[in-house]
Amino acid sequence: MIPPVVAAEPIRRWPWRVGQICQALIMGVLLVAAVIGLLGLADGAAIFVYQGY
Amino acid sequence: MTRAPIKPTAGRSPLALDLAALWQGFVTPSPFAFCGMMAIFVAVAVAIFAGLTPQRISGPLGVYLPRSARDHEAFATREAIRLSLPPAAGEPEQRVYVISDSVLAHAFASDTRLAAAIAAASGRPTRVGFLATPLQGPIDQAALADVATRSRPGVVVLGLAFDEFAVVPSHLLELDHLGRLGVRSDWADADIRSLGGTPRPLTGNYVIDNRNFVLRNLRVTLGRAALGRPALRRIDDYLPPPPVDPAYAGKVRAVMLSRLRTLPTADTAGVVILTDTVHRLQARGNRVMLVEAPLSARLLDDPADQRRYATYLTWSAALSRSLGTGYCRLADHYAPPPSAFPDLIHIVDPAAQAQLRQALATCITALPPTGRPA
Repeated sequence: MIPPVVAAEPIRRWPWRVGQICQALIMGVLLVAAVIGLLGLADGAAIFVYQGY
Repeated sequence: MTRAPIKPTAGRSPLALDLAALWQGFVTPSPFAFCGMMAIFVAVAVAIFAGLTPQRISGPLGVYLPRSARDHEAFATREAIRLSLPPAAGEPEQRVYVISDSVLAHAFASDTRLAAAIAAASGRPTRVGFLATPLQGPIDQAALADVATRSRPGVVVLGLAFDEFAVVPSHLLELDHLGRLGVRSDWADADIRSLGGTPRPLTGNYVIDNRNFVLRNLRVTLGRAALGRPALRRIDDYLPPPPVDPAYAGKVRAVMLSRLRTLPTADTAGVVILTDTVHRLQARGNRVMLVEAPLSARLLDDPADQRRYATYLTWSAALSRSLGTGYCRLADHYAPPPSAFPDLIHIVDPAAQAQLRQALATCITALPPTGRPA
């Protein structure tokens, strides 16, 4: 028996949009963390030269 | 852009369909998500630039500023900023500011116990502002002294040490450019100019003006704030974990003794800056006390070094007299045994620390109201 072809339902709009917003939120925060981390690492490396005798 | 194929919906509940769509939205790149990401990035960056202010650092969120229990620069920064704001209701009238390097931090070990010792000796409740930082130089001292005493004058204890005076101006400027502290001060900027340097530009924005300090702390600060786990301060925590490596102690010994061979004069950069700081503090109504920390007898086992150190002490007492400050040589009150100094300069013995807190309290109590010794 050949199974009936079931058409894919058009994607449900509001959950998809919520997913997009979550993605933007997390990526935005990660981008901030990455920038802070890179700048902080570059700066932090210098100061340890002077930590202690 | 291609979307993952949607599974047939037959037999799937509306909740399952919503979750599938949510997941698809979450993992699918799109112009909307990209613009959202950039908007969040800009919003968070603006929030940090505008939101990280001295007032906020002094408030409840400021407890997350230090990266660890040993982040003495951040603890001193927050303490100086808190002291610079109008005193809280009910705060003790008498203030004592301890501005020093790690040696006095190890000598006194605790701000609350030091406050208790001073209060017991003087009969007046006391608030101690402990502003010790590693390798603290005269420019750091000027910045911390300026900021901390802005709202209320008090007794300012400045740590003296011959090794600090041996630091050359170029090294002082180098240390300042690291931006180790998160405070800015006109006094310190004037000192930098007097050394031929150029102070970092001032814009009025805390993050920009203290860029290095903020960048160094922000990652951990945000993480600690997110987890609600502040670092707890340990004032006397500069040494490597025990037992102290003999090679480390040997290095300390070599540095200290080499610096003892260059005794300061009135023209030494550190002395000029210290003089300027003391005059500014006195003009603001503070009583200043210069404090010499004790040294291990094992460091000065050579008679020639003992003579040099005695010459230095005579000089530092004369400097104090010429500046009109109090002078407290802690070893005159209590000389800790050599075993109290694992690395020859830092004290870790709690009993010795208690004795030295008592010695400072005695010195402060003997300080005349004008700050000038009789």
